[in-house]
Amino acid sequence: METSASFWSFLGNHINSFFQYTAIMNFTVGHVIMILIGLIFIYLAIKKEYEPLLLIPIGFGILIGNIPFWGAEHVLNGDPSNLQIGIYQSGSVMNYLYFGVRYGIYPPLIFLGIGAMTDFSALISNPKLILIGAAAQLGIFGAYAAAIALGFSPSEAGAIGIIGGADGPTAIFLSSKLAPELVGAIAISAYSYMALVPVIQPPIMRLLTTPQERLIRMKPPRVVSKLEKILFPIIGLLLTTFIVPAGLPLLGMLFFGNLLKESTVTKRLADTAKGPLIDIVTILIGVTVGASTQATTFLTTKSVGIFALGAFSFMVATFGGVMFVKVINLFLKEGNKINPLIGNAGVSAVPDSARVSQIVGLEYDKTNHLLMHAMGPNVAGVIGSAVAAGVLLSFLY
Amino acid sequence: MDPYGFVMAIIAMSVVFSGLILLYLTFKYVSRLYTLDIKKRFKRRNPEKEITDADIEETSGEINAAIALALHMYKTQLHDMEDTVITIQKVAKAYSPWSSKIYGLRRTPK
Repeated sequence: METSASFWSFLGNHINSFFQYTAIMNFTVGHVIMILIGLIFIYLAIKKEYEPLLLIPIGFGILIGNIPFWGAEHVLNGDPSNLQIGIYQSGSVMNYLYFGVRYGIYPPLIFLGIGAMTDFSALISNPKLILIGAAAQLGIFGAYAAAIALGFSPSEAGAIGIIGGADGPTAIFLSSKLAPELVGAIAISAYSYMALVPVIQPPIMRLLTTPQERLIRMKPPRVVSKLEKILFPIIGLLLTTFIVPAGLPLLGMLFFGNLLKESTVTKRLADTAKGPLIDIVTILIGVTVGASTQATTFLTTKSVGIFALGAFSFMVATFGGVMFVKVINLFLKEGNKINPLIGNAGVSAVPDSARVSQIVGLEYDKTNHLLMHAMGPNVAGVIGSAVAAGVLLSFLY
Repeated sequence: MDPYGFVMAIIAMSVVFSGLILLYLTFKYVSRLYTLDIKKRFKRRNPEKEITDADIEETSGEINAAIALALHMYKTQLHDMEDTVITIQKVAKAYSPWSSKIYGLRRTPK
């Protein structure tokens, strides 16, 4: 009889103990909200096909990161209550994978792949398009000033401002250095707005341009020689990194990847960089950034501010690009003018913002294809945002 | 000193611009260097060797049309050059002792 009672008590205690470890016993409203956000990301990726390669890993990462469990706050190695499950807990698998985000290892590897898949011909054939890529970086510095005004510290403001570059890897790289605690919110904000480029940019482009400007036809780009393509990454690296050495990890890998492609003698390496390597790193960066958005660290007023500033920075960046084209058109001869609808492509969301230029351009003239022209400022935006990240790092680190 | 970050924003934006302006200027002028036609320049220095308009034989539209037609006919006929020999493909089975009939049980042992 006594043995039976102790057995039931033993069983009861263990079942109770087991339940204490389950997600059901540990969940909060915050976890539910974050799981819903993760599900929305997955829905947008599958149903609307908004940046599925990014939103699926991030969305699923949000689910992984927001499964509640006992002892999530015990993160130190050696702590007996550290179950090594969560992304912030030392020794967990997710923590090891998150190392690449925390120390800015993944972004340069992604830049290597981007370099290997980017064709700079449109930019080389019409070098003045490079300047649009610089003008669109206004979004970064506009958001930086706005973040300072909202009470963020200069380092945090710099990390938030880079969202305006519309470049996920650059945003992760810079925020991991300047404000590591905000990496998750900044990365999610950057990728969300990059996915929403087709929604954010067209109204601003229409608002800032006249019907005549939207119909401007640009000269077809000239044929670019192989030598020019080979020289571009070498000269580009030397010029940009001599001015902003802090951008070396990103710019170095970007131009290196491009040389692998353009030299045509390292096809295998270029294929690996733009194929399996970038795919692996995209999976790791997506899932770990998603998982880093644990409700306890993510659902704060700072995150709300970051999201608002992110949207603002995208708008300012689009404004900067379009207005810059309008201004330089004042100095260009008839026939050499640039269609201001490619100004939005100065942000580095490749190739989405260039695609937006093409779609908006076709609405006004079915035969005016702007895609090739828009690719110039678009790839210049990649260089511009990496240079801007280097500048912010030099000033604020 | 800079409570709203405007000074820092202006300086940083200027650095970004100067970096990319340098890239623009380099590619604007360097492209002229490597698109330089040395042969053409050399010919200008030696005008006696220059080919005059009279030397260039103009091809008429009819000749161009004839060439285009010939090329078109050649290309469209290419696929007609097919192998017309019908053959029955023989399937050769590789010898294997595992399927050999000589080791069958119906063979009477001596």
